Amino acid sequence: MYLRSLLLLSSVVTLEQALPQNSADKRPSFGDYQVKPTFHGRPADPVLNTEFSNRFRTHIRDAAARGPNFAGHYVLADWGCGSACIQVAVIDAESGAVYEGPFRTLIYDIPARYAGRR
Amino acid sequence: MPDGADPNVIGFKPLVYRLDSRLLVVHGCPDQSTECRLYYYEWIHDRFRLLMSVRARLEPPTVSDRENDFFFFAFSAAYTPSRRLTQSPRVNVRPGKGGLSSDESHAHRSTNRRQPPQRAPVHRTPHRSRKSHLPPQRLEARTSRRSSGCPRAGRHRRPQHRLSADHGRPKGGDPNHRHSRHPLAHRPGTHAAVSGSRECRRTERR
Repeated sequence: MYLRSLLLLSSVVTLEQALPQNSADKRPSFGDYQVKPTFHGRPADPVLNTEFSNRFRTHIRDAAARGPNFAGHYVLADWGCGSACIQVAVIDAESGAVYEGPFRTLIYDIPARYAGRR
Repeated sequence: MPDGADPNVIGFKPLVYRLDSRLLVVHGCPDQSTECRLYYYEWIHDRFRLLMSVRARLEPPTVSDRENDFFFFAFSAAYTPSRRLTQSPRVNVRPGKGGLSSDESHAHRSTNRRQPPQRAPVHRTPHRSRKSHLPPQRLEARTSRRSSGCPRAGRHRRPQHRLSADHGRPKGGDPNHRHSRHPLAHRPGTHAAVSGSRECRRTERR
């Protein structure tokens, strides 16, 4: 009985130690989603045909002029929206199409304070 | 190593991406939610697809971050500070004389800064025989000056601006009304002893 409980305890400890390592290994890496940067030339002017793109046209234009920095021929533009807050848009450097990011706003760096747990 | 080369090490940057990859790593709380995690997005044609999200903390941890951790409170007695915590640039921990050691820094819960050494206050008490720090001659002169109502004489004497009785008084109307007379205006008989007057000059000569 004693040996069985000891064996069970040791297996649980081993499993706990192994779990974070396995979850970390499953995280996607940049190499898994690799693309070739194919764009060379002058980036196209952004097409401001949506309310989102028209509202942030200055940030989008400034970022589009700098050239692609994401996924081959896209420009990932980000700008601030307050303290520790950013907004994101994706611009196609070839066609000038503007896409919204995966979120409207992103709060970073102070999540605990923002959630009011302090 | 360029920024974002390893998505598992993101430092303090909320967004990590590369030109030669469709992966976007986001660290924060999207859309004002309390789900502050590490998000992995894949860019497919014209939209992002969420791959996974994991719980993540900012690196390196600070003392205040340790305090927010439940396990820090639960096992604070058995907790031994890590090497990364003592080397963190955000934690002003300086072992040795005059500073907090790494163990002491956890005892100070809400202070990240090292407090300057406090000097003991110097209490200057006069001697029993004296009531003041001044020598007896100056003390006597001050007492007599206060009792007579004369301001301090000598080179530190303030010039007394004596206003005329008509100062600030509007032309016409009642001259004795309280609004028609300047409060600092000189009225005969209201100041018994002013510096420069005969009374004070006599007192100073004595």
